[in-house]
Amino acid sequence: MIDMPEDVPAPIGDDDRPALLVIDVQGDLTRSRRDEARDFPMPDFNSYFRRIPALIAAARRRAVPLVYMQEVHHPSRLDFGRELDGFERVHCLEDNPATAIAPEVDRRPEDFWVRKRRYSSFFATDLEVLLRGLQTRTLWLVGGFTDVCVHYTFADAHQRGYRCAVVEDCVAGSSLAAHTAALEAMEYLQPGCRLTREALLRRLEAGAT
Amino acid sequence: MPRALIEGRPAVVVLGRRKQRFARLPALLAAARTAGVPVLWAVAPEAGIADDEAALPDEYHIRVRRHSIFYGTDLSIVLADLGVRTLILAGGVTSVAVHYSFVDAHQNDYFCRVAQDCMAGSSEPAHDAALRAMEYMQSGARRQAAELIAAFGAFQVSK
Repeated sequence: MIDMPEDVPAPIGDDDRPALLVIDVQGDLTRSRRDEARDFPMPDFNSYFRRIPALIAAARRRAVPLVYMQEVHHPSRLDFGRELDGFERVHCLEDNPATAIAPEVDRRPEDFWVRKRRYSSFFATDLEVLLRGLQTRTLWLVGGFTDVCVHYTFADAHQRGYRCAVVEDCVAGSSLAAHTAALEAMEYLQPGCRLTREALLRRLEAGAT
Repeated sequence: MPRALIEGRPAVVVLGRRKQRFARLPALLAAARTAGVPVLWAVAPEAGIADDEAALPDEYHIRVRRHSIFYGTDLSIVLADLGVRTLILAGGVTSVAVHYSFVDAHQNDYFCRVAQDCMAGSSEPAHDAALRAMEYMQSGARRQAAELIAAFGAFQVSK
C-alpha cells in the first residue's frame, strides 16, 4: 500500500472495468430545447450535454469503451407503449433528423451503439450482451434525462449488480426539481455515486487503466 | 392520452414490509376483494409469507430479491394469466420499490396507479419526488385509496 496525498485522485484500476454510457444525446445541441410554457426541459439543458465531449475524448484516450444509447420510435408510433399517457409528447421518431445522435459526442464506427424504445438502456436491448463481452463492472452515466432514462438505467444497472456513477454536471433533466430529486435517488441506491466531470477527468488522467 | 382509472382488468400489488402502518390499506384490500380484483403480495424471501397477516390464503405471493417486483420474478406470467392491464401499487417504499416497479410496469405497457395514502418513502421529499415522477410517466397515476375503492365498486357493477 502506497501512501498518497489526499488530493491525488485514485486512478482507474483494473477493478473498475468502466464503460461510459452516453444516454440519448440527440439532436442539435446548439439550439435551446426549452419550452417555457411547459417549464420543460430544465433551463440550459443543452449546456450540460455540451460538457460531455471533453469527457468522451479523455475516455477514448484511456481506451474506456464508449456505448451510445439512442432512443428511437417508429414513425407509426406503435412502439410508444404507455409513454404518451403522461407528460411526454411524441419524440425521437426514426424519420426525424433531430433523432440522430448529436455530432458533438463523436460516435465512431468502433464505438458501441444501442437503440432503445423505452427509458431504461437495459429494456429489450442488447446492452447486457455487450457489457458482458467487455467485462464491464462499472458504468459511468452521462446524458439525459437525469430523471428518466439516466435514473431508470441506473436503477436497472444497480439491480443487475453493476457499480454506477452519474456525472452530475453532464446530465440534464426534464425539470430542475426532477433532475435534483433523481440525483438524490441515485445517491440513495449507491452512496458516493455522484461525480463531477472534473473529478472523473482527473481520475482518467491519473495512472493506468 | 387521457385514460380511465381502471383500463382493462385491474390487480392490486402490495409491496414492502410493515404494511400494517398504512391505515387505509385494509379498506382498499377489502374493496378489491369484494369486487373480485386480485390482490398480490410482494415479499422478500427473508420476510416469509407468514409475516403477511393481512393476506388471504389463496392470494399470490411474489418473491422479490431486487427493488422492482418484475426483476427476476414470475409476476409477468401471473399478470398475463389473470389478463391484468392495470396495476395498482400500495405499500412501500414509495421512492424505491414502488417507483422502480412502476417504471417496469410502465415500460411493459401496463396502466399503473399508486395508492399514495397507502405508502411512505425513505423520506418525505423522496416520497413526493417519486410520486411526481410517476405522475410524469402516466397522468392520473396518483390516487387516493378512497378513489380506488370507488373505482373498484364501479368495476364490479360493469363486470
